[in-house]
Amino acid sequence: MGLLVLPWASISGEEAATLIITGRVVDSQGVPLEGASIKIRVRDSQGVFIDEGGGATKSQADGSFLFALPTEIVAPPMEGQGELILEVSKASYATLSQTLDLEGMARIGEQLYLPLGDLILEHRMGAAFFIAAFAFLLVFGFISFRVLHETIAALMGAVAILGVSYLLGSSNPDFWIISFERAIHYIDFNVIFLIMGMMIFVAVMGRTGVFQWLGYQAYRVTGGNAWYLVALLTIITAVASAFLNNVTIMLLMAPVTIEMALVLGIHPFSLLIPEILASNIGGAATLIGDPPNTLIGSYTGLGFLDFLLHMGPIAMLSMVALLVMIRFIYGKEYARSREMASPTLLERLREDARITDPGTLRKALIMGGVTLVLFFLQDLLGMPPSVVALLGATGLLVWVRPDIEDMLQEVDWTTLVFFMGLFIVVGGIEEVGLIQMIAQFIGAIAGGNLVLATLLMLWVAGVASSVVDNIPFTAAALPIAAFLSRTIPGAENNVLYWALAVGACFGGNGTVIASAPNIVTAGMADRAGYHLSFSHFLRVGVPTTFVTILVAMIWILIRY
Amino acid sequence: MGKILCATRGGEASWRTQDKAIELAKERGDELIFLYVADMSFMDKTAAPVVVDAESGVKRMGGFLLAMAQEHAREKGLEAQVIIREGKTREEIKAAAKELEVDCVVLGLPTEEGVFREEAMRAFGREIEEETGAEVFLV
Repeated sequence: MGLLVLPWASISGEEAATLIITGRVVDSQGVPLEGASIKIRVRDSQGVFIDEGGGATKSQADGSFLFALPTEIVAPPMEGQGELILEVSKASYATLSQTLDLEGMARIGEQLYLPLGDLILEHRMGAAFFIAAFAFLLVFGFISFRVLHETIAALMGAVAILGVSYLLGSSNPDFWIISFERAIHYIDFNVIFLIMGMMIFVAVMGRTGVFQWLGYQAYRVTGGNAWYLVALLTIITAVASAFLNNVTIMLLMAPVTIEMALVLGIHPFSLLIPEILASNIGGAATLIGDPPNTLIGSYTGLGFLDFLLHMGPIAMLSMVALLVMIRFIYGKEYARSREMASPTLLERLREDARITDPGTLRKALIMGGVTLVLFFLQDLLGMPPSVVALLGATGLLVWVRPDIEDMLQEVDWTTLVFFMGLFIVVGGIEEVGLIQMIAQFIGAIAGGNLVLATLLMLWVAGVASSVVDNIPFTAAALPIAAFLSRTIPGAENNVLYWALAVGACFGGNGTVIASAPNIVTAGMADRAGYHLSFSHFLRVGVPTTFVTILVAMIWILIRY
Repeated sequence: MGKILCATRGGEASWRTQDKAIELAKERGDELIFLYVADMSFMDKTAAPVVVDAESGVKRMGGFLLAMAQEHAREKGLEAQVIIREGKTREEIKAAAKELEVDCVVLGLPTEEGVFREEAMRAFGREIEEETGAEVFLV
């Protein structure tokens, strides 16, 4: 830096008070880095550090920083008697050290300014990287293969990441993964409150017996014709799952469905499995139908209407494909159906499927309608979906006036804690650069080709979600989709997010452990003495997943 | 007149067990009681939001399955009683056997899950015999 020609004081003819250095710290993908430590050091012409430049500063949420240096500190380098060295450091990143080129300085008023532009930090695969990656894989495995309860697994991962950071990272920066404040920043409260609001809604609706009643009405309307019955049941399940949590829908529908199958003398799986498949397909149609969509919507800002317009047609086409497949797979079983002549059992079925609280149902339907309208207007009003859900849910609580203690007990807090833990774990691997590394790898495979990237996203998400839990998968895949959407020309139309949503939701149909509706329905069937084995579900689930994703792929390639 | 307790879920695999219990009750002139346990432990396998009373649904389904078992017994000329309990299956079967002071418990052996499950079931049968004094039939 001894090349500086002009003495610092001569820029305007009189001495300046302060040198302001500005810039932005970003990662290799241009994503702003918050909390990077920026330090200026002064080195004399002998190469000896003579001043630390007045301490250090931290980059803000947008990666920007501003450093104000008293001019007397930087006098020697400005007079050509040494160098100003900028050092930018952040846990999990290689420290950037560069000599400042003071020729770029400008004087405004009494200040000297030196804008540095973007300073790029490269990830470093240190101990923190491997520990965070290991914690994530462990949580992912425990959740996917039910080794531990999902909530305990996610909480364990979050605590491990924070524990290592504070117990080891505070004395050795190589072990620093994430701070508590930063971890909290990763929790998406829009998702948490949206899920909570919809839980309250579905809890009130569930008490009315409406879903069981709808199931029985399907039986009554179709006159016990098994094929018509399953077609109607799958449509009811798909539509209900699009607007309410599909696990709850299956918990309410499964017992009545089993009873109807027994009345008809057919195997319960021939009704239950199509319902499960329909619940996962229907859930894909809206922002609130399935957790992967809720995660995608909140991450990207895509609203209820966006999901309905883009995912709705895909879900409808896939439903048609599903009905054709069901007919093909279970046609013989339906042909065996007969109506049991037992009036006792029919009466019992009718009794099990009656509306238990018509007053509450009427109120819930009205508030449901109002909430739906608000969801449609959400973009127009700039209202986050979580606020819409909470407005509807709270309005319903005020109107219905259930026992609030009961009601709050019915909110499944373990699910909310699960999401919080998961967000922190995914935040941990994002902080250490694992997500970015995978994104770059996929980006390199796609080679800037949008069609290839879309197909990769769709099928990788579909296959992965068949094997592992689609919620952690989606949470981890979202930053990857975001990176590809930023870097691949033409991806601004959000096609990669739609591909991820289709893959994650439809992939849930691949195996019996792939999504929560499958698991709870299998449990219900087991309670009726029908063991739904992994291989049995696989025989129906895999071809259905393949065909529905294929249908979605054709639609996506034509439309986008 | 003694009492026979038949723990049943109602699927096709249970029909053999129900038949055996009906046959035993008719042979011995005992009262037959079908038991259904609403065991919700399967819900522990997922953190998915469960905000509805799923147990009521399972109990209603259990009532339906027991009604089927009753009809089955009636067709064979026997009037059977039914009982539904909530909790862990094994614990509830033992508790019901004790409370009802049954002489005999009829259980179905697993058909699909292999030898290990069958061994576990036989051990459970011995456990019931030791704790309740009732004779156990595994079908």
